[in-house]
Amino acid sequence: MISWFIGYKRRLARLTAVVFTGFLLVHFTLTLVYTLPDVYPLFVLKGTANVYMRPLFHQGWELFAPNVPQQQFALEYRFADGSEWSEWQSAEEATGAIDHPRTPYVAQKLQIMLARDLSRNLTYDEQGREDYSLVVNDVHYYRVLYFTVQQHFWKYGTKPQRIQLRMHVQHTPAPEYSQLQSPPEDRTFTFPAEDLPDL
Amino acid sequence: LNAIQHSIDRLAAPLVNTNRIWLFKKVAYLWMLLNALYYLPVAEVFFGSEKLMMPYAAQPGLLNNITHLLAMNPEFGRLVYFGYIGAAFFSLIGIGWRIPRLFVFILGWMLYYGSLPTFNSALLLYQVFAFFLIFMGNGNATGSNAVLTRLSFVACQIQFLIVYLLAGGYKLAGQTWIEGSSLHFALHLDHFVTTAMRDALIGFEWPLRVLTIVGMTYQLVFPFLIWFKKLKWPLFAIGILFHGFIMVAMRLPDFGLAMIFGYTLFFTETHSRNIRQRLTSIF
Repeated sequence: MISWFIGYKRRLARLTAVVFTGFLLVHFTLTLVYTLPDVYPLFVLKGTANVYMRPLFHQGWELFAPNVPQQQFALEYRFADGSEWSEWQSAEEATGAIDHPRTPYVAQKLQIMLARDLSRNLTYDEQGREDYSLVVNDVHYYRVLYFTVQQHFWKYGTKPQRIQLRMHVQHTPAPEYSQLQSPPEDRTFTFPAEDLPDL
Repeated sequence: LNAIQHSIDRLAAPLVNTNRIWLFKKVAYLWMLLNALYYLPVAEVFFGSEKLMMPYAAQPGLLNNITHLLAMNPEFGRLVYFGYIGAAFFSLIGIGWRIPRLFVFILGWMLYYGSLPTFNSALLLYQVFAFFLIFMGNGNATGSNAVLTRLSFVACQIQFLIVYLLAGGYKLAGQTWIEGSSLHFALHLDHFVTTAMRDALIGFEWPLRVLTIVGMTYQLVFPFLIWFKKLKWPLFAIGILFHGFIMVAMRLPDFGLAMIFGYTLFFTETHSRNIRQRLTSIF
């Protein structure tokens, strides 16, 4: 009986070794497919990798790569609880209850996603005026709007009835030795005012 | 076939590098605990029912619904946040077998998805560690337990090396790392760098260029050189300076500490034993 049990344990250990090694091979293959760029022949497995990696093994290692961002964003808002608009104020200042180094980091991340959306979906009418209708119906704008309203709530204890956002895009001048193209001019995007009955 | 069978039997042999495994488990759960406590003063702002991040619905599927519980239901914020801290603490002191470790893994994802984009890649790395740590036994593990422990430890090593290799590889595809201007641009990112820090460092053009290229090269060569015993400590020293700089200058304490703690995966058994003896004599 004891010898059978010892034999059984050994067989189980061998089986575990084979199964777990196989699992690791599959796991790291899919990890590489998921994290590497879509290069042939890896993209054949991309769909499988996406299904496997999300939500339990999601990761990405383009850390400040391929280039460090050469622009940054500054989010401002103004609000109105009646007809009078407030002055424009920063929506990123980590003061009071939200005083934490991660607050401006979150604001920047949300704005990066909004900026990508702007580059895709901002259109212009015949007079050359900006048309934000596609942008303001996208989730990235809602996330920034929600962040601003909540940030206002933590600052003042209330939620405004009306709010308007504007985002400045500032480019970092490249050093003299840099081969990078000179950056475009800084821009400011002023979004339409929003009524906030239910936020 | 004999060679394969021999390799499999070696995997099932009693553990030898038990101190390395012990040390890695401790620092991994210590990082998870510290990372969660970093948000303690603003826990309500980042994870509570009035958090800054907009709630959103999960994709269909059981796992998505579990991991996105906090994303969909902000009212669970306190439970998830303090549950994670408790689970990380119990895992750190080794109480509760594998149950707290399982909770660390699940609650970690709830926090991550529930407060997107609060956490950076450091949590993603430690979530992978948290998964493999569930399978890691103690020093006296035998049989299949020893197999799982040994392979899980190797999996954590591979995952750590993937981070460096890919982070370095992606940088090769750009311009700012090759020409050495990355730190110049990084110092202008206001959400990472304070004005005082930028003013103090921005004038050192050549040191910044050299540091940029050293940082990228370090990430590319680490996965290959770390296996040479004589190079381990020089690599750790450079890494501590590199990540220490990022921690202080760019105010990313979580990521820097995550990578420095991760070096314990490559400590020798002798060094791990010495550190373990010192730590156990203190606590």
